[in-house]
Amino acid sequence: MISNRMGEVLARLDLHEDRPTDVLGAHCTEALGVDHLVVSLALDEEFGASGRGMTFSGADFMAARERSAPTPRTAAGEQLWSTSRTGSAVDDLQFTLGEGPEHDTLRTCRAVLENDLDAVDPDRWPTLLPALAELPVRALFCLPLCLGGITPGVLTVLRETPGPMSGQQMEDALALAEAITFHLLTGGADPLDAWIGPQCSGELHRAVVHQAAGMVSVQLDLPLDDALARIRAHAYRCGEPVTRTADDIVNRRIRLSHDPPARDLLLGPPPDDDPSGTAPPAGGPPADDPPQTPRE
Amino acid sequence: MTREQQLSAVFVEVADSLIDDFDLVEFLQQVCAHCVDLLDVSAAGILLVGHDQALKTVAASDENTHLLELFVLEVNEGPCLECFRTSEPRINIDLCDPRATTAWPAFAANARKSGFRTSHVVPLRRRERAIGALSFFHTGTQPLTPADASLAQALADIATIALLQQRDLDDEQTEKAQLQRALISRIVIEQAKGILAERWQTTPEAAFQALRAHARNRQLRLTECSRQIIDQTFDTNLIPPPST
Repeated sequence: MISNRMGEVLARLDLHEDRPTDVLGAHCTEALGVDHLVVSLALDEEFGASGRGMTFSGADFMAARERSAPTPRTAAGEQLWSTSRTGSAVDDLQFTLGEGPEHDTLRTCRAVLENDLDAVDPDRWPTLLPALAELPVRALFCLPLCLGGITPGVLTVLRETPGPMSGQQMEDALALAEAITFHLLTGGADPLDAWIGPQCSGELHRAVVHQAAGMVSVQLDLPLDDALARIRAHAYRCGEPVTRTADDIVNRRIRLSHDPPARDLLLGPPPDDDPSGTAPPAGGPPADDPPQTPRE
Repeated sequence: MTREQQLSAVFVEVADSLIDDFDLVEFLQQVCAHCVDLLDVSAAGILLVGHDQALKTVAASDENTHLLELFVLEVNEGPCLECFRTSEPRINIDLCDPRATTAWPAFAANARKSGFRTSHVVPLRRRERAIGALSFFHTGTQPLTPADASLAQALADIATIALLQQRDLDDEQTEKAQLQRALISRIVIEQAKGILAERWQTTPEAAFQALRAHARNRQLRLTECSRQIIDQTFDTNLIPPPST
């Protein structure tokens, strides 16, 4: 049995009257007794240019630093909605690094339940775990948004304290995942309207990243997926959120160079000691440093 | 195999059909084959209604051309069509009986010519409506017992479950494809904004306004325009750039 409070939330979601984001945003974390929620959608690779190679796996990320190295591809997610900046950051990190529980859930269609992120084997998500450690998130649960044989997305439930979800919480979370799946799959011609607004005015959380990919693809004459990989690599190397890197590119504060990331230009007055203007971004670690924490 | 073993084999096959990828036509052929064994009839076939509301033969217990011709005939006249329309079974039809020969003259004559004396038909039902029929022929005249008639209907129901399951899966795939298209469409537009912004040295917002105005004027779909820009199959010089 789902709890009364979750029952009320789902009943309102079912009515399709209010925007799902309003219904869920206002009451959902409270009804579930957790801190953050994120909904991400699967992005099938078969769907042409834009969907191709949105990510490559984090384990191979460092090995694939060289631009010429083949970039392994895995299924990717696109963030649809999140209750908080922390929730968004957890999803952005997985997008940037190309590994994490969301990827695992989308690939296997199975839930990933990590009661204590500190206790996870460091080799499981070698680049993600150190980055996550800097965020106020100690327990993470990824539930597949699945219906029959298909998994169109993943619901991520985050808590700032470690520990398993109670049986009631799990039942509520599964019911929520089911309701979201149903809402998404029965949302008419454009199921995203209800979540992020109509096509001309609504924006995906990572809209700026895709815009930046378009710009970089022209600047460097690269395919879009390679351009996106460069942006992700830059964000990873500088230890900043991929949305910030993208925002800097779109607003022409940085311009990625043709050469590997170490030579990326920081626009504006070059530092005094580097008249060539090819200094790495201020504060950016050398390429072999471990990833830094994204700034919130 | 004993009758019990045969029955359990059918149920195992059905269970498989509900969890794994399976070939629907092959499954329906097997149901027909099981019918012949279990009900001691000479031949069995499954007819389904198509989008055009006409019955079509989708499976038969053997590829005997006379049998297949009979099923073709049944599309226009015969107990199958009647069963499909009424959703009621017809058991123990004597093909020599004047009631059969006057109701379905061509069908009855052809069935007799193929050596059949008796026919039965049960509907493939979804709630009250029939979506098809399971048809049987026998060269002899011994009637189906009430227990056999129930089993015949159960086998038809099993075929229906497998069919509906397959249709649901197809629907889910369609819905997921729709969701994917919506998502890809958003991403493609953002990427096109960036490409145009860089070509024109403007902001993505200004580039978008110009792109949208162009698409409206030419009555083009924004997503389609954007995708062509990305694929470089669209000359962006045709779009008036923003004045700034």
